[in-house]
Amino acid sequence: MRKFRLLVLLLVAVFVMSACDVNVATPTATTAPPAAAPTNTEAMAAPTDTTAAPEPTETEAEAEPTNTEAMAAPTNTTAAAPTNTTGAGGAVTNDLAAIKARGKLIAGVKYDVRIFGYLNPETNQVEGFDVDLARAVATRIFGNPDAIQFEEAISRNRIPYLDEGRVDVVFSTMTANATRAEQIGFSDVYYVAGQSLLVPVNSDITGVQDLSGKRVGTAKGSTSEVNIRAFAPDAQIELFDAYAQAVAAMDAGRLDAVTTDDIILYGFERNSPDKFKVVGGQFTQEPYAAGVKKGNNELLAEVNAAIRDLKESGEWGVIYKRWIGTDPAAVPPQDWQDVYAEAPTVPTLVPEQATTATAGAQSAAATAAAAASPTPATAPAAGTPTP
Amino acid sequence: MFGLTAENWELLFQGLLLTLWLTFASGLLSVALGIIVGIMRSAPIGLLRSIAAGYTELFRNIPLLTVLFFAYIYFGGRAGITLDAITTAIIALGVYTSAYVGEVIRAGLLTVSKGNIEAARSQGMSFMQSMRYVQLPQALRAAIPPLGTLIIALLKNTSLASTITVADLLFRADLVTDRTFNPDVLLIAGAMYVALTLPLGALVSVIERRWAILR
Amino acid sequence: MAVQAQEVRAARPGFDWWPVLRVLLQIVGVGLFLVLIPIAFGMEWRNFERIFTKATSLRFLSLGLIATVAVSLISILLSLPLATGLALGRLSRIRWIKLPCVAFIEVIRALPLLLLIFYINLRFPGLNFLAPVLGEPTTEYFGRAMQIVFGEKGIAVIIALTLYTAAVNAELLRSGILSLDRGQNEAARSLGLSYWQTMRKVILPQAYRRTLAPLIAQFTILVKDTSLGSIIGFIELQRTARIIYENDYNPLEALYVVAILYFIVNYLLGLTSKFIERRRPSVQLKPIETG
Repeated sequence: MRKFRLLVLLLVAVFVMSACDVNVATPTATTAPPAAAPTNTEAMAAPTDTTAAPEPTETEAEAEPTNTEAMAAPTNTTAAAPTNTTGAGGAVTNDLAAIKARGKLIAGVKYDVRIFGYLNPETNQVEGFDVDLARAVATRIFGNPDAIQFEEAISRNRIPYLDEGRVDVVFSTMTANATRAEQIGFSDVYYVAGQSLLVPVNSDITGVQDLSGKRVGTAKGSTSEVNIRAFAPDAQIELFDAYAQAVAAMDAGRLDAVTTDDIILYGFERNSPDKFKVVGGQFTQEPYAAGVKKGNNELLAEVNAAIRDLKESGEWGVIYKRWIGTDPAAVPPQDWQDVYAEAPTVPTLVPEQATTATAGAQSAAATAAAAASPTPATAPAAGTPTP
Repeated sequence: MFGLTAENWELLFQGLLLTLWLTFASGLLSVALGIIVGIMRSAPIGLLRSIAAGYTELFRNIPLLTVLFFAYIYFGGRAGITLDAITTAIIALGVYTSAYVGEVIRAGLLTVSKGNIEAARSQGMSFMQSMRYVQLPQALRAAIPPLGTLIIALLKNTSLASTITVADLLFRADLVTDRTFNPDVLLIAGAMYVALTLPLGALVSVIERRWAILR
Repeated sequence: MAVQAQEVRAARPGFDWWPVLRVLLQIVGVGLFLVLIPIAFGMEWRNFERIFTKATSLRFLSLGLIATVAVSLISILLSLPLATGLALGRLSRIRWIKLPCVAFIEVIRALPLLLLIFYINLRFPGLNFLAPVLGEPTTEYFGRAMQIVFGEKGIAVIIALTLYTAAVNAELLRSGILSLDRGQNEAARSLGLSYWQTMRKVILPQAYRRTLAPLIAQFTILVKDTSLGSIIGFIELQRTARIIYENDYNPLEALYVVAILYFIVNYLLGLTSKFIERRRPSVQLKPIETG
């Protein structure tokens, strides 16, 4: 008996090591959060492997998922075993030809974010800004807004979903940034949000400067987590799977504030104005863009064309008004990097830089007011003091 | 190692420590509560027996997750006091497991021979005295192996605390998975759990065998 | 008190009123309990009202109940043959059958179920292989239930629960088989029955009978463990409670209602176990209770 236990332990060890060995070759270093320095030399070697791979030829993609696939997936699913590119998630192809052959687009959207992607329990349909945009892409490809299938993509799984090919495109209130751009392809910006705070109605928190020592909730795997750590280094951050969960925890008295993109918070405020209010204006700029698997350029071109058409025809403004409730102040810029160029401080995790980041937030907030302030009632600069 | 940065390893080990602490604290609480429940279940007063039986049935029939969420909300402020998530998790885990411990103690009390109890009572000992000096020591002894099994289960159950923002091993593994986009980090955490539970299981079976011979 | 009552009962001829009173007392006790808990925890009636008067909330709750029961039943049915196979494999004399079975059982039992569910959900795409059969998202009640149960998350939960329960039950069955008299096996074999015939006709029926009660106790745990599916987004009872209270902010009340539903489902299972136990006493085998 005991001999077997020992054997089992050994087997486990071998099992785990073999599974983890796989990871040694993956570019974990590039996907680590900003503060996590790539200390692993083995992991450092990985990006060179990727560049060593032959250039992907887009036309070949239909026949056999070879080069394109290997290039496209930076996570272990395919990069793990270069000889076996069709294994695991690699078997699913999401290039334009495959989508056309399938006859419908598979889009990952949020199911629990009012205004953007929300599963309406009355109709059992997902609806929102993101959903309308995804339908616009389906219309562009198939000429039919209903040639689409929605999958729930929460903050923490949307990038793996793209990599594994579970979804073709992700419209899930996703902020485009440099870290993510290394893993997936971003479309044109379709909305510019900004991070803000949701607090109980009777709270005396007026902005991000009041958060010192307070309990602040946000979602795992979101940029909001990184941002709030930079803007409120003294706050106690608690992580949840979904924003709704965090808001419920705040309602129970567990949290003093919930932070994420203002537009998500307005959804909660609108649902129960007797309980919550949004305060502090926008202290970051979050360009929302659709994501596709890296290297899936044909699809990306279609998505971009769809978004551009919407913006040029004015349909974008109609969708904006339908979900946000007001007329848009300005059409968002095409490239997500331009949004950051206007507000150059991308917050980092380093506490020393937090003060400069907060200073930058005011310019961010100021431009945010011009760009896309969802309700004029919240003056963005009101909460932030001048130094 | 395994393609994880030192920082991520540190996160995992911090989680491991918290998991051990959760197991220890809630294990202690559950044994203390469990002994009370076990004694109540064999008490001579019908009402006490019914209450203890109700308590046991309740926690054996509803999921731990529901208990955890309930406690998380309740101790968020409605209880009059606010407990942090870790304390809440310890209480919920302890209370939940105590129902099972109570059953084990009761089964242990049943193994005490009737002659023993009668002898103790005829010496003029009260119910509590006989319980304290005669029945409980024997019952606890008989209960050690099943208690070991329960503690192992408890160790695994602490992973549910991750759902109420307690940064235990599974929570950290989940976080690192997020940051590295590598689900196999979960395997590393799994190996840690296995490395904790398998030796514990071996220990339990050794104790069981030893005592089976001794008895 | 019970002793006294029995004495009284024995002393008095005529109608035996004690069992009736007992049941009545139990009903009163449970009723009192159901009322006392909300009062003790300061729940509010209007929050309950919001659950029971909203059609969507009720619909959600019933969908969650169906999903919980369906996934439990499917996992139970799938886990039994797997558990039998694993138990026999572990008892096998052939090393290359025995060792993998031992490893599988021990490792799966040593892992937290939540971790298993996480891993299966994250690592294995394509679990939505039934999506083409299930069709487009629908509001139709039965179709919606099917889509929940056999959707990606449902399948992941079913796989995890099946593997876990099979590993635990394999150990139960093994101890059941080992508890049989060795002579049974030898007698059957000497009668000329093959290994499989012996197992199928002689050993396994007895082992099942002996382990039925602890098996059902393990299934109670399985029902409770379906709640872990809520963490990966599977819409079962626990998740429906969350959906409801994340909308209406009545968490204690929603969780309480859901706890009662779980209790009823599990209590019925427990009654089955007791009923079978009374008819066919099983050997004392403790299930590994994990909750």
